[in-house]
Amino acid sequence: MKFQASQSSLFSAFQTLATIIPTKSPMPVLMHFLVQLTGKKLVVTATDLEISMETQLEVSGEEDGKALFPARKYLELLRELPDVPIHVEAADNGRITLTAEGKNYNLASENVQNYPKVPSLEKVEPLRLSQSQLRRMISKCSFAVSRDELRPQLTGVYAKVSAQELRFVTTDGHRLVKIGYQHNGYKGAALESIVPAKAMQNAARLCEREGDIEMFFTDKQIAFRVGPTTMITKLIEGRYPNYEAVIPSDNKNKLTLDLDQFQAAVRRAAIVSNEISRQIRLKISADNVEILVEDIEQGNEGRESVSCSYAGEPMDIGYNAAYVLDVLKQIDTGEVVLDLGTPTSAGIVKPTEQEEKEDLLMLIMPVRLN
Amino acid sequence: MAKKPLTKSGSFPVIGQMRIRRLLAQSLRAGRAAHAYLLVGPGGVGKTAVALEFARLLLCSGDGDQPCEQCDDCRISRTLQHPDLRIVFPLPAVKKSSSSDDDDNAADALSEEIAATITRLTRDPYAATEIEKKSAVGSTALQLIKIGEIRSILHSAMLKPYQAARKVFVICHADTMNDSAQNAFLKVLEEPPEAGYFLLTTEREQMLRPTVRSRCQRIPLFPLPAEDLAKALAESGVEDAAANLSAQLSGGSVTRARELAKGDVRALQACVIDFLKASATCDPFKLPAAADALLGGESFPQHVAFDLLKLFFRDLSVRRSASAQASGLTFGESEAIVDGVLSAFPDVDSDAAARAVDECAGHLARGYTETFALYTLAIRLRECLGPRASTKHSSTRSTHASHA
Repeated sequence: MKFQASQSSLFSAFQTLATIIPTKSPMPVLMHFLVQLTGKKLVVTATDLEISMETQLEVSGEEDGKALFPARKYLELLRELPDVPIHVEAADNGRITLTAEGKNYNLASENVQNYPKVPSLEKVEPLRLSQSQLRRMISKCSFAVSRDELRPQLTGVYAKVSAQELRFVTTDGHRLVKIGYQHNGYKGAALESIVPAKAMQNAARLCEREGDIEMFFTDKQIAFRVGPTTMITKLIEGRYPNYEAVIPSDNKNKLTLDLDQFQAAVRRAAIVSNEISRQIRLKISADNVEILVEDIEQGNEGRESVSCSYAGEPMDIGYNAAYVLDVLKQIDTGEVVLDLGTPTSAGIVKPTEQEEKEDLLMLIMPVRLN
Repeated sequence: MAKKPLTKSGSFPVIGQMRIRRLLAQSLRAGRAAHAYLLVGPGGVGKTAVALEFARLLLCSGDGDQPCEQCDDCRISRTLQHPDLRIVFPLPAVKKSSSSDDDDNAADALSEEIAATITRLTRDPYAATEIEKKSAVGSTALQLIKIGEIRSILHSAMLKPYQAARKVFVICHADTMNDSAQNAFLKVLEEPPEAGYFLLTTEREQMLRPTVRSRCQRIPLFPLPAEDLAKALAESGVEDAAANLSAQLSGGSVTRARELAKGDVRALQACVIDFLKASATCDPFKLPAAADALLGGESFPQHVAFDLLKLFFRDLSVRRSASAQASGLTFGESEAIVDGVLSAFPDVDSDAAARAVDECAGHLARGYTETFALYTLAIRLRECLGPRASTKHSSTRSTHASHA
């Protein structure tokens, strides 16, 4: 394999992938970039076996082929070279040679045959949506991802794609977020998958600019492509719990509150609440919600009222203040709607008005009042 | 020095254990493979070798009883660098840096050593999986599989395989998991992921918690037959006689057999014969030299010389029994010597002689001086040989002895 490209274009392409490369690994091949040249197209891949990243750039290719480049040494060398055309050659014995204006460096490398197979996305139909929309969806649902590794399925984001809708669901057993987006133009098969939360965060980081992102869904992986860069991530195995079953459909008590007022009141109450239970109590009447908080251990207590509009039975309900604040942070409208059932059943939190094509629903479990 | 035999894939072959290997392959092909196997057996019988072979079969996309060596998965798994294969072994504890707050850093700090060990296993599935202590900077002697490593396995286990249909975790010396590691591991054994397979190996089964053991299918591996070992050693370039003797002395362990074959086991055999001769005559001039030679060599541990002595007396018993024709003799090409001793000392009590050898080993273990222990042994052996037969027999014996 032989090609020539400027230092700046090579460095920026390789540096994009450097975060994926493990600094130390018992599998030495993972500490390398996989570089494949076809004509003028140079494809660079890095993987830590959980997340793979691939980027493409145009070079003046001389001889097609593929090779492994030792990531750290190669990147550091590139950084220190001046911005001049660099000639790169990979010999059959695995040695990589960099030549630039009288500077010549020779690097040892691993056998390219030992590199894990890079998943192919050629035959997969992409789903296109705007980067800002995906970033928004990920940010709305990420907070409810469970950190309990004993229930691995809950540590990921459930993603369901169909011809009409892309849906993300997260839950940790105490709260749940379901966010759907009515897209148009997905021709692939309907699929359900559980994406590791870390991969979703990385995907959100990819969505930094304007423009579209392409998502590819397969049985084993999910991929995100922005411009020349593709991120492919492994999925979590197993079945996601039946979240539909826990979303109540007959909550008749409708409470509407001013978001800022309510949020500020809960924040204040949270300061005084018990540090472990973080319990607050909402006494809901027709035009007023009284927020009561008491920490018997420390001897602290507080109460305040927030005006509201409420249609339903008067209710006395307890919540974890931290969970309420997390949920309220996701509301973008001036008012928030809580659909409540009984003091022991899940309550639904929604904005008063949904964004265009979007459907956001959050669910929060009450705590039993003592 | 032994030249290693190479399979087509360029590695040392798995020796014997055919019944177990067939059983594992057949259970997989019948769709009845368990998610967790516990391979139990003494050191060097091939637990890791069998586990690695089965791991490769689990990853292979073919449907044979052996890895097909044709598919992409086989090509990568040959180097044990398959993305869906994880090999875990005990690591020495690494001194924590001041900023580090957990014990997860052992695997990172020792990644080069781990990679080297895995490369060794690629060439030789019987290679030791312990990280050499001297190479681990700031390490302590105790080697453990800690909870950090198990947590990382749990994390990998919950993800779908990278490219194969299954993902395999080989946990060597599973008994070195400490309590918290075993408890954490229990979770994944109770609810194994659909595509996840766990192959645990141990020499000390009892050190594993009953809860862990009960969730694994137990696969006992027995010491290898000496013939299999001798054949493998001979194929690896060891001289036939030395290969036979090393195989007999190894107790069915490939590792021990190879260690023995590396040293000059035939020379030690000659020392043993000299010592026996000196014991038979109780010659005060020859005995000190023979005793020194017996335990003086540095290439073998003491017990090898004693094992050889016992092997000799075992041969005497075998030879004397009517049913054993010439076959079954293990003390090298010892027919002539054995016959010679039998004719010179028809009343030899080989059981008592073997017990005397054990006693001598016990004396040394208790700190007796070598001279005292060996002289005592010589006297005891002389007693066990019994009265010498007629002169004619005696001359036959000496002829055979000098032949040896």
